[in-house]
Amino acid sequence: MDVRREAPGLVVSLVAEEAAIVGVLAAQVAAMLAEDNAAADPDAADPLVSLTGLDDSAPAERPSDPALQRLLPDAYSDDAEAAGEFRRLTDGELRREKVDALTLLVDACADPTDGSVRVGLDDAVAERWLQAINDVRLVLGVRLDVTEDMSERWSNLDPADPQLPLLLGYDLLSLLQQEIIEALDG
Amino acid sequence: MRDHGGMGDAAAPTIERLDRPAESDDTRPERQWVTIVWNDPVNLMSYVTHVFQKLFGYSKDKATELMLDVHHKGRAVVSAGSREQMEHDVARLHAAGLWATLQQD
Repeated sequence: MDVRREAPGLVVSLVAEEAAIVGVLAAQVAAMLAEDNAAADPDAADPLVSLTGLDDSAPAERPSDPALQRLLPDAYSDDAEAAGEFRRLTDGELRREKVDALTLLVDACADPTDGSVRVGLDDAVAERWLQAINDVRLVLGVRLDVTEDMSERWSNLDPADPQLPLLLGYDLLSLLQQEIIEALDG
Repeated sequence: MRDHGGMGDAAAPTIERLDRPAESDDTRPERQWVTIVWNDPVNLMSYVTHVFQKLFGYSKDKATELMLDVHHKGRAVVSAGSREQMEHDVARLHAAGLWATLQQD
């Protein structure tokens, strides 16, 4: 993995294995967001809904999956009615924005040439990558019960742990996110 | 300090209902709304700082201070204003993956 500033944007290089992991995880999170709510799929949606981003026909429910709850949180912690109204007005657009950003990541990772992916990002696309990477990390964080201090978990890794691939994916995405932030802000 | 006018006229009737103690220096007519960001174990400190700078135009120092408040105190008020403005801020924070809510101050 390598992220560097090359005006006017960034250049991100991933070896094929890294790109495959990032692409697969991003595609899974995009599918979670889309499958849970058909309105996230513009092809399946009412044209007017696609145009306005508002879907009044299908009141959005708070997701039952804790990982989706983290991606689509309540906007009001103390007012369920206001939270429901806010969700009804914003859920479709928020899902679409997240799926679009995740799809950017999936597409960029889809075609490794000569064993690696090398992609140039302008700053705006780099911000979308940060959003998408973060959403994947949030989902993995819930699935893996991530806590603030993971050092003990890392030092006691069991090679047979079925969660090991997800942990390694989480670590890879954390590193990629950090490197993009440093390249943007540095 | 709050100024109700009628300076020097002690007999003027008070018709304004105060929702705050008179000694408050708050001159806003209504309680404002605030956007709160809550701590979570996944978001990188650098990412949270970056988002505060991007979304609100805060300086690196201000954004870092708010991020540390979230990290150490569990939550921080990151913006204040009208309900509509705060709903907009919360929506943008949710798009960025931060755990944000709004409430009346």
